[in-house]
This record gives sequence, C-alpha cells and structure tokens, in this order.
Amino acid sequence: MVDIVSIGANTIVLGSLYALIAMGFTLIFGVAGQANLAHGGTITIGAFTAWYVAGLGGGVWVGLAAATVTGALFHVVLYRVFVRHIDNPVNVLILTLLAWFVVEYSFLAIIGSEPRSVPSLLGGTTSIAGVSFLYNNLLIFVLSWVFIGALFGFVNYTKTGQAIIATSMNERGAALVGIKTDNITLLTWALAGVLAGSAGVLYGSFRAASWDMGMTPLVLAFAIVILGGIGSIRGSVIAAYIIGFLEVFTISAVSPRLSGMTALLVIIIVLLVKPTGLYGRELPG
Amino acid sequence: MSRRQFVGLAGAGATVSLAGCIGGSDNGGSDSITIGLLAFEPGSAPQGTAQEQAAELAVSDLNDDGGILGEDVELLVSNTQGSASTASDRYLEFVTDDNVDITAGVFQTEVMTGLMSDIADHQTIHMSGGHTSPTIAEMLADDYEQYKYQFRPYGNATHWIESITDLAGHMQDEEDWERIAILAEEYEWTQSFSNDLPDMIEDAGLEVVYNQRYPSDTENFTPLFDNIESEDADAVVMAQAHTAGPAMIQWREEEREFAMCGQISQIIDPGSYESFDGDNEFAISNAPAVHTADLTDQTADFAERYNDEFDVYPNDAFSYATYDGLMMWAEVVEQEDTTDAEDIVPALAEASYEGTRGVIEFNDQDHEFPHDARFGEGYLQRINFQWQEQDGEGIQEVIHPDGLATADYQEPPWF
Repeated sequence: MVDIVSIGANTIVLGSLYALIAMGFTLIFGVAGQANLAHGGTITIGAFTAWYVAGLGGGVWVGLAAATVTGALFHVVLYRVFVRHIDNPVNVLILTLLAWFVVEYSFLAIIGSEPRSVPSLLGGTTSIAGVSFLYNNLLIFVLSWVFIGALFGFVNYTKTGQAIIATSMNERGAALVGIKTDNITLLTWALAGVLAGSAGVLYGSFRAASWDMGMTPLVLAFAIVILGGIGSIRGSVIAAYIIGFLEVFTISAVSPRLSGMTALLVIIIVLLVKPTGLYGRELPG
Repeated sequence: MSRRQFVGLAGAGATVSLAGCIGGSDNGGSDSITIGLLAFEPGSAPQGTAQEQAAELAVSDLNDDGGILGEDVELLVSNTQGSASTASDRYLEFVTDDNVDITAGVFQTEVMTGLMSDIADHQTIHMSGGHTSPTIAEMLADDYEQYKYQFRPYGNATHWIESITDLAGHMQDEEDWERIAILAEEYEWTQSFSNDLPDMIEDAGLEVVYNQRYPSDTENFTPLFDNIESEDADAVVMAQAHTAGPAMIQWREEEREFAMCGQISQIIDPGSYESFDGDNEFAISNAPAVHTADLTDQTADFAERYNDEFDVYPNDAFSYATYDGLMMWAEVVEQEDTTDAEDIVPALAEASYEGTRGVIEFNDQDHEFPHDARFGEGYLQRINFQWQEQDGEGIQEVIHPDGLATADYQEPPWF
C-alpha cells in the first residue's frame, strides 16, 4: 500500500541530503566549467574520515568537522597539484575520474569491501504532525539547510562571493577588474570539498560507508545539476527535491528495479527538452 | 589503441592460446598435489578471504598429515574479481599452465554458470565453495556426463528456504508471527526465495503479505520498509548478499517494527558485528554453521583452530564447506590411490565423510540436484542464529532448531 505521507516525509529528508551532495559539484561546474568526477571520491573520504574518528573515540561530531577538513584538503591538493595546470575540460574530466578511482581502490585496499556503519549524529525518534521522524534525519534536513544558507549568504553577500559569481559569469572579465580568478577557483574547490566531505558523513550515517559509495551520489549530482541548471545553487536545491521525490515514489509505488533509472531518465529528458535546466544559463565560451 | 598496445595484447592472446594447446589436465610427472582456488577478492572481500583461509588451513592440515599420496600439497589462489570472464581465464591458467589436480571455490552463481563449460571441457574436479543457486545442480541433472566434475558440499538455496520456513513456523508458536514479507536481491540464487518460499510459508500456516525483488545496488530501503510496515508484517525474510549494510542501518535506526531474518550473507560473517558497528544486533540469518553451534564433534574444534590461525571465526559455507570439500576429496584420493578425475568422480559420488557440519554425502545422478550435499537427519542441517550482545561483544547465538539452540530469541527493545 502506498503511503503518501511517508513518501512526502522521505522526500524531505532525501532531497535535503541530495542538495548537499550536489551543491559542491554545481559550484565547481558553474564557476570553473569543470566537471569534477572526483566528487564521489570526496564523499567517500568524508564518510570514512568520520568513521575513523568515531572509531578512535573522537565522536561523530568531531568526525563531521574532520570530514569537512579532509574533503577540503583533498580538493585543494587535487586542484593545486593537477587541475590548475590543465586547460582542457575534457582532460580535467579524465584526471578527476582517475583521482576518484585512486580514492576508491585505496579504500578497498585499506578497509576491504564490507560496508561500514557511520554512527548517527543524533539518536532517537520524534513525531511531527503524526509522522515519525528520526532525529538523525531531521538533523540531515537542518544541517543541509545550514550549509545551503551559509553558501547562499556567502556567495551573494560577501565580496569574495561576488567575485565567485563574477568568475562564474566570465573568467576573463573578472580578471580584468582585478579578481584573482585562480584563487577564486581554488576557493571554490575548497568549498566544494567542505560540502562533499560533510555530505559523505550524512550519507554514511543514513545508508552506510563503503569503498564504492561515491557512484550513486555522483550520478545524482549530475542529474541534479543538469535538471537545476548548471551553476545555479537555487536550481540544484529544487532539483534535489525533485530527484529525491522521484526516487522515493519509484521505489514505493512503481518498482525498486527502476529506482536507479529515474535520475538517468531525468538527464535525458532535460537535455532533450530544456538543455539549460530549470535555472541555468549557457556556459561562458 | 596504439600499435604497441595492439601488438602487446595480440602477443598475450597468442601466449594464452598456445598454453591452451600444449597444456593438459594430467598431473603426471608433478611431484606435488596442487589445488587451484578461485576466490572472490581474497584479502579484501570476506567471502573470498574466508575461502582462501579455509583452503590454507586444509592444505596445512593435509601436509601436517603427510600430504596426499605421499606428496606435498600446494595451494594456488586466483581472484575471480566477480567476473565470469576473469574466472574463466584464471581457471584455464590453473588447468593448462599449473596442471592443478582439483579446483575449488567460486562465490557468485553467475560466475559459476559460465565456468561450468570450462570444467566440462577440462574434466578436472571442481569442489565448489560458495555459490548457491539450484541452477548449477540442474545443469548436472540435464547432462550428467558433461558436468559431473562439479560437487557442492553445502547443497543449494532450496535447503535455506526449508530451514527458514521451519523458523517461521517456530516463531509463529513462540512469538505469534503470522504475516511475513519477503525482500530478495536480484540474483539467480534468490529466485527460490521469491518463487517457492511464499507457498512454503503459506503451507506452514502463515501469510505472505509482501514479496518484492530489488536491485543489488539499492541503498535506500526506507520506502520498502514503509511498504512492509503498512502491510503490518511481523517479520521480513531477506535474501541478500550485498546490501546488508544500508538495510541493517535503516532497519535499526528507523526502529522498524518487524523482525529481520532470512539468508543475509554479510551478517553470517563473524566480523560483521564490528564492521556494522552493532547495527545487526537482533537480526537473524540462516547459516550452514556458526562457531557457537555444536553440529558435530568437529565444529568447535575447527572454529577455534581457524580463529587461532586467522584471528576470526569461520565465515559461512565459504569457510566450512571449502575446508570440508577439500578434506573429503583428499580422503577419497587416498582411498582410490589416484587423482584421476575419471576414478574420483564416481568415488566421491559414493563417498560418506564426516566434516565440520555433519555427514557429507552427495545426491546421485538421478536426483533433482545431483552432486549437491544431502540434507536431513544424519546428513547436513541448517541453523538460524541471531546476533545478540553480551558484555559489549556481539555473538551469533543459535535460536533454531531447538536441538542446537544456544539461546532464546531476543526481541528488539523498540518493538
């Protein structure tokens, strides 16, 4: 029996998580025009950082903080050492794909193939309007919106944020008015690392951490960015909830077998019908 | 592809082809007995690691006992990587380059199905150690002469569902289970859970209220669990080998008000309680054995020796059946005084061997499942265990059948 209320409740939690997963991806895509396939690897790094820290007795909240640091560090190293020297976006795609594989297979070698449980950030359940929610899932919702709000505020109401927007619109023009675009791109990569690292912790506490956990979030991020419009944070948030709803609805009411296809179908339909997505614009040439 | 890459690949192909031409399954001239183990990601995946450990222990025991036919026993291990084509390549290397006397292992049915024709071509005995679909035995039933070199010392998934049905009946009496849901990963070995188990459970006097298959990359079980709860199920029977992590987390964290049982391969792994951070507490799984169950006089002794050697208890059929299968083959080879497969196949088919889980005898060629181990009184039997916590440590307690039970069922505190 299909329960509309359950579908709605699950969509809220899942959409929030997916928004957090996609935002870092869309940020780099929008600002630098680079598709960072290592995003899935960053999510894995975040999840296992929290798992390690929690296992060593530091607690999962410290693990969450550590995951934002390791996520950002990974992205900074990846950008400074490799990506900044590459002009061709296709080569960036290949390089980040390689970096993702290196991360995945490193975890396979170190941890093994068994999934690991990242502890919940909050235990227990509560009831809101007759619907039962886990505190951990509510926290996922709240933390996602904290990150979304902070990013939105930073980008729109700080000088550095304005520089990010300017760089995303026209890198050469931004350089002409004195913006150090290389530093802005580096900052974007670091911010994306913070978002992806924290998304990994929440994703791991919601599902499980495993060496190959990055694939699903990466496909979702692609679908969300394409549906929301490349470079649009607002578009990504709305698209995340749409994708979340489609997944929950497909599993609940249609067939679990089709759940993996919904994101791919969305990509195809959007590319055919509205290639710029909900709130997107064409990439600068 | 560059010219150099092409030439390199062509050279490798020619080498493999040539090896195939000059190789053979005859071990004449070799001064050792060689076992070729096909394991799934040994050293990384628990299934393949368990197969490798069990084979190592068997080889060590055999060599300590003077070897086989007076010759030392050597173990070669190859990684199937879960791929039928890789498994086939590694198998051909074993039988043509290494002249192994027996092959063992393989985890996934899909991989084993592809390997059956290679085994038939090279007529070398394969003692299986993990795949569970009835389809492999059905291939023997259809063409015994071609496929008779394959033996499965742990039977197939039809025995799992018989034992799970018995558990459901037992829990109907003890815990008032009436309504059962079934969730099965989309793999060949789970077909009997989706197709045959519902009728068996209904025949046992319970009602199947939900029966769903799901892809093996599923991570979001919340909507499925919502559906099960909306059907007011008392328990869900899971048939899963790859997705226990997210399923356990979501079942426990979301405090689902139905019990979880079935064939949950990952939680049969004695190391799973630690890796799942205790999220599998209260979950039940069917298994061929666990170290707490005294199935035979050998069970505990084997489990403790295994633990001493590898610092972990034996894991599922991967450990118990791989060890038993190799020891049984060695015993038959000693009796027949040859490793020749044409002599060993009929001898194994008639043999009786008391292993770590009970007496192993194989179904004959007229049976529905030839060369699968027999189950029932006097042969092998399956147990159902529950993960319980004692003094902060997880322990696999047998809760069914009664004669082997080491503890009572514990209801999750959130029920």
